[in-house]
Amino acid sequence: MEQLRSEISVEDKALIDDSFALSNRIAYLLKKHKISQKNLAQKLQKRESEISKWLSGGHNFTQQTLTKISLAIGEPIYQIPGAEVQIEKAIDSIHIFKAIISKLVELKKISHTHFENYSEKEVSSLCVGASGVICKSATEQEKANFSPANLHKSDFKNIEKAIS
Amino acid sequence: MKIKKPKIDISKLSVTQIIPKTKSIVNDPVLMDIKKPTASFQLEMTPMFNLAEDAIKIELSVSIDLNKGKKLHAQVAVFSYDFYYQYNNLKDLLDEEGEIVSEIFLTCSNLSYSTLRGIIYSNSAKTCIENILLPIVTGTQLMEGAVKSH
Repeated sequence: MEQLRSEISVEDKALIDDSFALSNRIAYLLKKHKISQKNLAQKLQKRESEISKWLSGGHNFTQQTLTKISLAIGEPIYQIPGAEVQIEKAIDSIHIFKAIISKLVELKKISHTHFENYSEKEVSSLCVGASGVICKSATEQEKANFSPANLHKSDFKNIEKAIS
Repeated sequence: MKIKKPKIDISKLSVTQIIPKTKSIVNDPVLMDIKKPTASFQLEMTPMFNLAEDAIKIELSVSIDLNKGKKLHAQVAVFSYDFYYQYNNLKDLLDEEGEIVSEIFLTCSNLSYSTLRGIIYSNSAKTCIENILLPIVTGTQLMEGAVKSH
């Protein structure tokens, strides 16, 4: 038996592990959503014995089967990191970056550098340039309420000339 | 008959808000060791108005570069502020073409720049721009985004 186990390839072992993890996850979701194996079988038009076999582990699930199960349960079995996660990660990075900068300021590695505290909503963009961190606040968005003055370069010149 | 140009009544003008958008000084110890660097300034100003609200807004940005011969040319500070003003009955300042007279924008621009000059000076103590004072500029130079050496 031990000899047989040692003969299983790394790839096969990973496949079995994944399969058991998926079975466990499906069993957990069924319990969470109070769906019996019988109900799931009916929804998927399968025999209850087949569902039971899936949940016992070792089944090689196809992508199609996993999608059908997810839809039947009403919750994804797994999630691939998408845009939302990336945005969350970006915000996390901003927090980490701010913390590092604050620490450096505290340790006087960077002295007397000013960093304004802006709430997340106010930060429309964050650039890191030679001059440090530049945060553009929501006040820029207020521009919509103001119209640019219709001025020519010579306007001020003429007034200044008249004054002097 | 020549229509009289509206005149500004300075008592009707008040500052309502000064909002910092960017305040940033890079203060690398290497920059502090540079003896007698020259500085250049880049100014950017956008005068705006809201007639219904009797409001004037001056968006003003200053970036400061430090230079030392061919060895150094680096942007070391950026300040960007929005200045909000209130003028009672801004409509009184409309000329015959329906435009607000440029004098009010010149006044607000000069007020904003001199205020920002003070803000930068008070913020620059013990930094690499400690001894660098923003130059006195005319409204025309402000409009043109003057680059001055110090």
